Amino acid sequence: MIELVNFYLIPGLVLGAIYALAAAGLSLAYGVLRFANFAHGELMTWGGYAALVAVVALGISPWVALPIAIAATIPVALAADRAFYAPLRRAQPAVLLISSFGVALMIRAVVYLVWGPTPQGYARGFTPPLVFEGIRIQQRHLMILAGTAIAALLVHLLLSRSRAGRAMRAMADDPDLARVTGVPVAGVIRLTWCVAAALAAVAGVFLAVDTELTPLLGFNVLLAAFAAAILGGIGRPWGAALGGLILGVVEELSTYPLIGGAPLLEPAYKGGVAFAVLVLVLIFRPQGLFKGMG
Amino acid sequence: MTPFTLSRRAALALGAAPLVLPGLARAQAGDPVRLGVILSATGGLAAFVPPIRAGITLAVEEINAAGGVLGGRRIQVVEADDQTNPQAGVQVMTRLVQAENVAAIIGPMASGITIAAANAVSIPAGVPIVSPSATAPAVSQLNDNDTVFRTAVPDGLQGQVLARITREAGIERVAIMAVNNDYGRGLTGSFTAAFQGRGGTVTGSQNFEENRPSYRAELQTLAGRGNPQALLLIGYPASGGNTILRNSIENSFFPRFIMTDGMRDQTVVDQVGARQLEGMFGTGPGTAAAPERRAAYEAAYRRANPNLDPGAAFVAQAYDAAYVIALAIEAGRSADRAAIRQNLRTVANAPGEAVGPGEFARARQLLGAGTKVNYEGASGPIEFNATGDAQGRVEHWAVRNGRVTSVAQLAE
Repeated sequence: MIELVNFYLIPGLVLGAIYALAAAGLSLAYGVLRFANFAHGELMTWGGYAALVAVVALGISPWVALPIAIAATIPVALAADRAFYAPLRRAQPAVLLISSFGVALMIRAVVYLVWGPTPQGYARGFTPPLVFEGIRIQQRHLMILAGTAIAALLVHLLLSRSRAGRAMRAMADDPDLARVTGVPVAGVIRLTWCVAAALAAVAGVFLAVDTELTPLLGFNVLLAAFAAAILGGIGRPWGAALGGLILGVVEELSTYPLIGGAPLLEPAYKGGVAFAVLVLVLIFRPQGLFKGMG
Repeated sequence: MTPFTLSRRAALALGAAPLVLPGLARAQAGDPVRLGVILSATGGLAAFVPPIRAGITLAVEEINAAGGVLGGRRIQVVEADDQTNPQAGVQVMTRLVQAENVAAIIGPMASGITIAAANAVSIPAGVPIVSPSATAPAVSQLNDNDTVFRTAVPDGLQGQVLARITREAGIERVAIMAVNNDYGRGLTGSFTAAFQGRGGTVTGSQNFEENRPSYRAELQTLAGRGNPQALLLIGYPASGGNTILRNSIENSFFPRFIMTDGMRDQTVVDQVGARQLEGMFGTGPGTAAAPERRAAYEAAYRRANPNLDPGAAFVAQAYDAAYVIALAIEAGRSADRAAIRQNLRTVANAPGEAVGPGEFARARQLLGAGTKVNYEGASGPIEFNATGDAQGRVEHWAVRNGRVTSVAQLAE
């Protein structure tokens, strides 16, 4: 039983926390801007590499480099919005979606150009896990779980307590009504990109801390993040975070050897589990767990 | 609007001219012969690419410096990136074959991509392809009308050698993590059969999906069953291999690791940790080359690329692929795709006057005089069999003092 916790539940929670951060940023951008931002994965990758630069240049730990990663990722998101999304603001969502894909490829090309395709890591060597009563957990996993909780709390406070957060929610609920009631649309959009980029950078650094940096780092979890966002009800950051946690845990548990030592499911098809869950939820609750927007 | 319409028509007509008159455009004697190269410059196999690309470049530069082919035509490389992804592989091969009009192709690198792209594009079009590194047994079974060749040695042999060195290391029980593609499944099959034939037990075997953030659950499932003494990891560094090693070492799932050609790269040791991987071993593409052939190639390679390793995985195979294609063009006196296809075996196999790395000028003289040549390459004698596979050796390597080190070259 302790193995279930150590090797299936805890990795599932860590993975879920990373999905949750990625999905929350994605969902937030969708809510305010009404399009699926395919460049979100590349923003994660960018944040991860920005932290690498800080780690190598300043000799600090990736946790301390988080603010630098965030500060390096926000301008990329704002510049992409200014150059590519703003002129298309009134276009069909499909046009914006495809242009976000183009932005993703541009960012990825720059990452390849600057850092090359070889995998890199923040640190070499290994730290033994902490052990409490038989439960083994890596220190960095504790940090990822705690960091995710803090980020979620900050986003929650922003959205529920601040004037800017209320404006963002107003834009998400009804953009035209928000505009006529005097919500500063351009400012809200900029703020949305800042928050989404910050969440992406944090998710990217966490993912790179847990695995390693490759130019496809963020893109490889983008589909799962989309699934989490839709599962939770697209446009609802809290729903997206919950969706991420559920997907991460379900994916890991699906390979648990419940019967006679053989895994429940061939791990090669683990990625499909997320989408099976998604399909089931959409059949029985088409609006997502929380009521999402169309 | 009339002038605009006219000018557009004129532009269209101009643009269409090369399509209507392709023969005219190509017939000039001085035009270079275009050689397609498909490498996995991005994605899971990307770490292997820089030395391999340098190997191809070296061969092509030697050939061009020796006067090129067909009475002074240069060989021009047109490179494309398959992103270590079969769909992208099919796309770029379509572009090379239809738009770039290449005479032959070196690559792709991965077996699954080679099979997908060959079936979809190069076999129907009749374009000869020579992969330096596709090792899956399934590549031999392609119904390819004799268009698919490889200078890499198929994994049937690698599985046998791997089973032998694993048993010789005193390991009886092995768990297998293999990438879920033709390469992973093929090598798992050939290793398992040979290992059981030598009295070993495979305690469990899983095919993993690439690019997952964590493999802890799968590894725990494998480690918890049948008490394996080692993990055999068949995969690529950047698309899961390094993560699997990290997850295993951190949680002490397995005391030892055995790896294959897909993971034979110094960056694996550098990234995962030299101390943890010290003494681990595996198999890779071997060299069966005569020492003086190998030495000629290594010296030329080091002169051109002081910072790259001529012994890195599949580099000599890629170099040899460029040589046999150029020799086939020269032997058939034509850069026609069908002629290259027919002459690849003629120039690579015995009998014939033996020529080696760096000897393109001599080979061309011999061919010009009507003498048959037999290319003896940097990676081995390069004898293509009936299914287009080269015969050769498999390398036994190990991590010694933090470096991937060659231990032996084995033929069985």
